[in-house]
Amino acid sequence: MSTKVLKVLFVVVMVGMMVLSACGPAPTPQVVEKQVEVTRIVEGQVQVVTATPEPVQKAELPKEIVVGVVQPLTGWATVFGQEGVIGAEMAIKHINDAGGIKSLGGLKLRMEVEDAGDKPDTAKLATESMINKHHPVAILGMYISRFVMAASEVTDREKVILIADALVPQVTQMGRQYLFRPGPTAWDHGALAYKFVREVAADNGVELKNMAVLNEDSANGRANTLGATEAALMDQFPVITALEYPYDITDATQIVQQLKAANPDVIIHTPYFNDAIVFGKAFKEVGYWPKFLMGAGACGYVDPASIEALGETAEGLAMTFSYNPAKNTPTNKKFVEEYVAKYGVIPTEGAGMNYYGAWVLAEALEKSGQMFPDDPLKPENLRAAFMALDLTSGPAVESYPSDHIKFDALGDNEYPGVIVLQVQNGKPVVVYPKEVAEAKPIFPNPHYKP
Amino acid sequence: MTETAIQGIITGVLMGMIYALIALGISIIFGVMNVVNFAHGDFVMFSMYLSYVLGTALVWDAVQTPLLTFPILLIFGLIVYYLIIDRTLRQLYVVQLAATVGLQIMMRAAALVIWRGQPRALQYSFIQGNFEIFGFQVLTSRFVAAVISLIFIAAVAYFMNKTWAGAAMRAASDDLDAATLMGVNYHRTYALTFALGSALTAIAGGLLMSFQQTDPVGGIRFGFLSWCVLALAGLGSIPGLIAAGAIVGVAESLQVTFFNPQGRLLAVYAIFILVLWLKPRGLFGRK
Amino acid sequence: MKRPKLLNSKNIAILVVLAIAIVLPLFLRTNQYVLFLATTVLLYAVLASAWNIIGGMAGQLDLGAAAYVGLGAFTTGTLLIRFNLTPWVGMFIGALLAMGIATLIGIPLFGFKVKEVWYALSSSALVEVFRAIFMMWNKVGGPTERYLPFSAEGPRSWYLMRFNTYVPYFYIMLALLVVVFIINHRIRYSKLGYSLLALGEDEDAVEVLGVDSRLCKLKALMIYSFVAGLVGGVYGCIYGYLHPSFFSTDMSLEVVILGIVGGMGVTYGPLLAAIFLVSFREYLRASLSGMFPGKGLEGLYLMVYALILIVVALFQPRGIAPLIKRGFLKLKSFVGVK
Repeated sequence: MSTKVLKVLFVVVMVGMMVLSACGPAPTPQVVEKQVEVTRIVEGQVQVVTATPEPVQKAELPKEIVVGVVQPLTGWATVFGQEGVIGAEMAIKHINDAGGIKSLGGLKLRMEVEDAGDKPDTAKLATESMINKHHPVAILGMYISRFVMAASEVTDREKVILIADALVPQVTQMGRQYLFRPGPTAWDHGALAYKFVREVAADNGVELKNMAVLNEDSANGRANTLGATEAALMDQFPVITALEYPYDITDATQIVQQLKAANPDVIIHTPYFNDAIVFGKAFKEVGYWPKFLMGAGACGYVDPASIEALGETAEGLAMTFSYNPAKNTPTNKKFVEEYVAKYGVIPTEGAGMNYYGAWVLAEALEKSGQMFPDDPLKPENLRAAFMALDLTSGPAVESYPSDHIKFDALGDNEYPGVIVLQVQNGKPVVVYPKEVAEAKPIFPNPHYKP
Repeated sequence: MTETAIQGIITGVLMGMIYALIALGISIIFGVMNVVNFAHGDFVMFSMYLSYVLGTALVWDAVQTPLLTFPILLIFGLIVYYLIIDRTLRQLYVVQLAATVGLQIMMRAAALVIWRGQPRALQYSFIQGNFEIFGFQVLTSRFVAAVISLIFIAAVAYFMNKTWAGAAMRAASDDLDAATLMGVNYHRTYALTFALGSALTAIAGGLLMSFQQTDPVGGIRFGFLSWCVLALAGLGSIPGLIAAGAIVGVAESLQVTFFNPQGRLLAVYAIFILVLWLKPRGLFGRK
Repeated sequence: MKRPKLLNSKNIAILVVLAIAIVLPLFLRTNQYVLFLATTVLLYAVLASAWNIIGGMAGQLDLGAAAYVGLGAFTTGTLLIRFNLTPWVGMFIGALLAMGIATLIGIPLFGFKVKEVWYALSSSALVEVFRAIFMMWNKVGGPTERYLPFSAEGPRSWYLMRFNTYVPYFYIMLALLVVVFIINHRIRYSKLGYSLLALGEDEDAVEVLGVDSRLCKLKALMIYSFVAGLVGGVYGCIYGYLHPSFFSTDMSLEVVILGIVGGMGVTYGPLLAAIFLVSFREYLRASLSGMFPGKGLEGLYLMVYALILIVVALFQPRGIAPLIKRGFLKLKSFVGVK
């Protein structure tokens, strides 16, 4: 009996493996495949040798450049991922409408999307499958820091540029060669949240004695809080309470009551999307407001869903963002207008970060075309182009919160920009930094009663 | 210290009543039909979304929405019963697990497709606010939610004890063969039971929407908690269910207040596991 | 019944197929995606096959797989980070730890006769408890990921069990699968196996016959948690980081689903189910999720997957293994082989 069983078993193993191997390498566009043969180093340096017999000979360019977008499109991080895809899609459309990559003869970009799911398995599979099937020159996305971690191992091995939109600082600190993060880190977010509160309080003549930090217990939440706490420690500004809670909390009453008992002047809170609503409602219902409730980490409070759900309570809530929807530049205005026309809300974090992420890629491709006219898409060359980027104008900077993009050795932007959005009259407006502000910040919180 | 503890207990007890209401649904489904519905929490999530849709479309307050979501969930429960549950009755309970986990994935994915991933919440409800009793703060929405939950738990208890349909359910639960001989059509009884159990989530969903939001993976928060409540209560005891709900709510609340909000459910799970070991029939079980 | 030999002269087919499985990576090595998918399939197959001992044979619906996987991963990873201990040793320490904890929990659990759905729920609670503990235990876990050291090639890469390719992981999983099969096979035809199978049918009757059901179940749980801990050690190395999200209820559920869909108690069932469900799900994800960017239809693939799952559960409640077997026998008689 058992022998039969085992026979069946192994035949099935074999068949299964064959099916797997058959369905794997999907037919790829011939031209792209050619490009891959030339540029990618597979199993040692074989290809490098074949590419160099005639140094004058130019590497043949593909018909279009594939850009992969791998974002969590199912599971709990969907809010961000779906926006990210839209942002990248619009950017790629705008890049193509503007004539593609000019230094490469107007080569156009094409977007391919895969879902990273909500598990490391799916995130890594998605990256492998994206690279295997579509051979992109770069991948945008990932959002969740541990997915970046798992995926960047793959992109580094395959020498594909990964433009990450995760905020967690540690992401770029593992010595990855092909990982770039144009956006700011969570530390920048936390520090700016603190700086903003102190500055605005001083401007309004409000005295602040202490603060509390509150965050959901993800890597991002904690990094934001650390950024804010560190900035406060530098000033010797007392942090009297620090609370961490799981993002899937069902009831925030006790935590708000605890904060009420501690009664800090300022709370710097790093929520995710869901819990921001729970907390907003709990603050109102408990009837406790600090002098200022400041958000950090670019998730809830100021996003359209929170404003709609919190209604009048959302008024005066502020949050740091890695993208400035109010930046008054042609590229940015075009993006925001089209986005609003299509989706009825302004683009915030996910869409914005991927929008300028795609533009940074376009600029790097442009640069690579100038620097290495012979083989601009060779990963090493493209990476060199990324490192050589020093942008102070152009569409990437026009949609970036600061006015300078230059990557350091880690792949982080040396001039990260963070802005503060505050809900005023039911609309998110930019209130900080002052040079780009649309309106003066409301301070203290309108619900605060001394 | 004591004051904080009492405050925590008040908050916990009130929240526990909603847990009890959700657990009541599981309790009657599991108690009567011996069916394990792993997707029960996702029924709550689904009801909350329905509350959101109706609340925004009709400009209703969250607490009014169960008027419509209750019948919708009743029908939904019937559909699920006849499509899926009815076919698994004669199978091992692992098959029920596979089928209801499939249902769970299906409902989450459907919510994702229909409402995107955005968390959805209704505007500030008219039952939101707070009042004080002996110097302790009570949130009105939690209070009203707890009272309404208790009313519905009592109503279900009345229904089970005093009506013919309820008697049929209890009979089917006690001895299916005997009940069948006495003229109880068990398919119909089971369908009614399952529909009622599902529809109770509509009440809970409406109440929760007054101070919460919902998202596609939100069901997980309630599914497991309600099983813990049921394990504590044991089958068939409605006062036990209320007490168990209160215990779970208080355990959660005190853990958040005094220890660390990160482990908000640790105390609940610890109680749950201990009760399973020491009192496998629950603290208040009837059978 | 005497235990049939797992390998004998009659079934050279087994050796041939095993040989094919062994050389498979040679043909696939440039296709990392398929290799990784095959590794993932094997990983879930190992977990589900181990689950088969406690779940399939003994009928205990254990939802704690992720707890043991997480413990294995954290032990292995922490030993590597802190004490530079190679995961080749670390994974066994992790597995022993997972087994020890499983035993500690199993003794009262079986002693107090926690059964059926309550057993399932308490093992599922275990996953959540560990997640919460590791989330709060900042010295080892905590919300920030811990990264495992990496070396691209050379002996260091072997020492760290961190590779630039999935080939070694594939073989590790294949080896584990063979070992789990042998264990499954041996148990299936041992006294323990008969007791477990009987337990799955009717626990009280077995007690009457004088079998110590608690001890049998405990043994099954120990084997299962040991294997899950081993897999966990490799799991952490494959992904290169440690995070409390390894304690994931979804993973436990997936393992159990594979065990059930494969056919309870059938040795090769979980492998079949893993091959079909894991790769089918991945196929759906890869082909459907990016089809309509920005339209919000990404959940569609999960709906299709869920539908398949429900249909299989309803219309093939004994799992897909008997179906395959019947198909294979038909094929055999069609070809005319006896």
